[in-house]
Amino acid sequence: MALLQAKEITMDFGGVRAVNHVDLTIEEGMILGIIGPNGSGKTTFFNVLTGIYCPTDGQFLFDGRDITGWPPHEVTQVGIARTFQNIRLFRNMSVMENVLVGRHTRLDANLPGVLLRTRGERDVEQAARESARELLDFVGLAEREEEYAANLAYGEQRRLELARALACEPQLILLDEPTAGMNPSEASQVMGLIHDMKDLGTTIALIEHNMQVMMGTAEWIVALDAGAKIAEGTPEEIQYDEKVIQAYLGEED
Amino acid sequence: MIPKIPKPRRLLTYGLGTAVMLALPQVIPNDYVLRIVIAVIIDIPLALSQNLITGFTGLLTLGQAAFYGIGAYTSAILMMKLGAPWLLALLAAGLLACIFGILLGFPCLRVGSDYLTLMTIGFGEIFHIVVLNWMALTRGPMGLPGVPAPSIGPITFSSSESKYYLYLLIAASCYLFMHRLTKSHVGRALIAIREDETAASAMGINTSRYKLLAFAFGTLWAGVSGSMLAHFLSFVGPMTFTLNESLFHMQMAILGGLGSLPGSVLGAAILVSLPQIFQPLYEYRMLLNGALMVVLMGWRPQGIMGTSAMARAAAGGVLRRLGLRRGERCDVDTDVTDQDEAVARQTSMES
Repeated sequence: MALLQAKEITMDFGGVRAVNHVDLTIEEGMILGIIGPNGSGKTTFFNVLTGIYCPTDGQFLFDGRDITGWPPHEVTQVGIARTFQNIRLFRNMSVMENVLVGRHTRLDANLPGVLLRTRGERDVEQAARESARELLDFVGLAEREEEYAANLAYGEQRRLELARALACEPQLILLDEPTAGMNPSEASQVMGLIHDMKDLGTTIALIEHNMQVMMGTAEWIVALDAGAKIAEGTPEEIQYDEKVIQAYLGEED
Repeated sequence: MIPKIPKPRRLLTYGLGTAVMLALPQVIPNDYVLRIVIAVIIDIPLALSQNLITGFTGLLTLGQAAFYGIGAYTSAILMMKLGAPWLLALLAAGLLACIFGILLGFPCLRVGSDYLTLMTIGFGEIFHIVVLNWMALTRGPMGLPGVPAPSIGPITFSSSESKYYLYLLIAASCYLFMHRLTKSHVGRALIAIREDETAASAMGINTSRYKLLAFAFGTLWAGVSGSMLAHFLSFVGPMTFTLNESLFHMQMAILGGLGSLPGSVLGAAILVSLPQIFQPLYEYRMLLNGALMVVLMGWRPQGIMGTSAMARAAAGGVLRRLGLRRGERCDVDTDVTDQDEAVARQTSMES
């Protein structure tokens, strides 16, 4: 079943068309890869999908619902979470607090409960901490929950971003270059996490420049160039697609 | 690692603090000194609410004096002209300030942070001009003398000592309110907005709603503080509620440490009592005040109690916006727009 359908998505910035009539379908439970040279509109596509921008044209259907132009927090509430290309953690909050912010929409807490510190409120908070701890354990940061996010090493920060996104309990998670700037062993650790996430039933869309990671994880790849979709297929097909090779390496004279 | 005070020590600190506060009027026989302490207590909700809005949520507002004033005038007028009981006047003062806060917040919180600052300054000026000219209601520059002392039923809090205990209770409630709020999921949402608004919204936080919430609570307590002032001085006049007063609230929050609640209490204590201590040097006290701020910002930009990285971050952001500190601007959308520009450049080159 299609979890997400993007129909003819177009995004213009002034006179520049950053995303050009992109059609895309993400099946439930799959890992979809999005590739393309720099500036081909991959991140903009994520930004339009998550409501940071409203698309100029086109439609997003998530689980049968039209979510086009919804504000970011509503997109998250309906079940889409994301990480950012350039890590955007809450740097001066602890590792634990970062994950707890991710759980924000899933908390059954209210203001009077907070101010009166009712039993219900304390239980909700306790349960949130426990599930956050599980997620930190999952990404291998359980030992560091008291640390400030800013003090984590680069690879750890990327993994914390993953845990924070997972805390939103998404059906679909969008990962924007989760292994950027990582060494091969860190990258393969993240690859392992992505496979684990899939096994737990999360659908994943992945932007990645590291072809090894892409070939090792994605089951279906969409290639973008200059905002438009130029090819899609299995990793094997994409690898030898002429248009893709052209987009990356240029034409032979 | 974030240091955590162990529970027994925390209880001891709180217990000792409470005991000292309760015994204070018995120890201080001097009415003048006690009145200074009450002035500090009145300013505690102001410093805390400024801290909630600026230190925790990262919104640089400079219009708190207007809400302080709305509270003071509401409370005084309700009691004097309509004969309302004090408790009702107090609640109405907080509520009306909060309503105006929300009304101002709607347009303000939709614009960028720098414009928010300007709009709140503008609102403060409008308030000042309105009270100065609405003769029928406020008696303009003559102000409203003879505001009655607080009273609940047959009990009237006319002596300084009784006012001290009453106001201590209100300020302590405010502290508890802020403490619980900032330690909860609401507080986390506010801090997340300060840290990175885009990422906060991507975590499912309705950022405009939470900013409005911070604004509403901040203005509510400023109004309560205004009511406290009116019934303490038994006079309300327009000259109390100027931009200078707003700057003073900001100063208390920054001096104590943005993002630190005990810091705000300390900030209020120092900045209210210092001019009194330096009374003999009357002409130079603003100079001393200024010098204190300059030295502190150079030596400890995170404020006195702001030991955590959190306070440092909050202070850094505010100081940058005020243009007091150089460094990378932390605008919320910087890297999103950077990417768009990169995309735009790339695509225009290709086509």
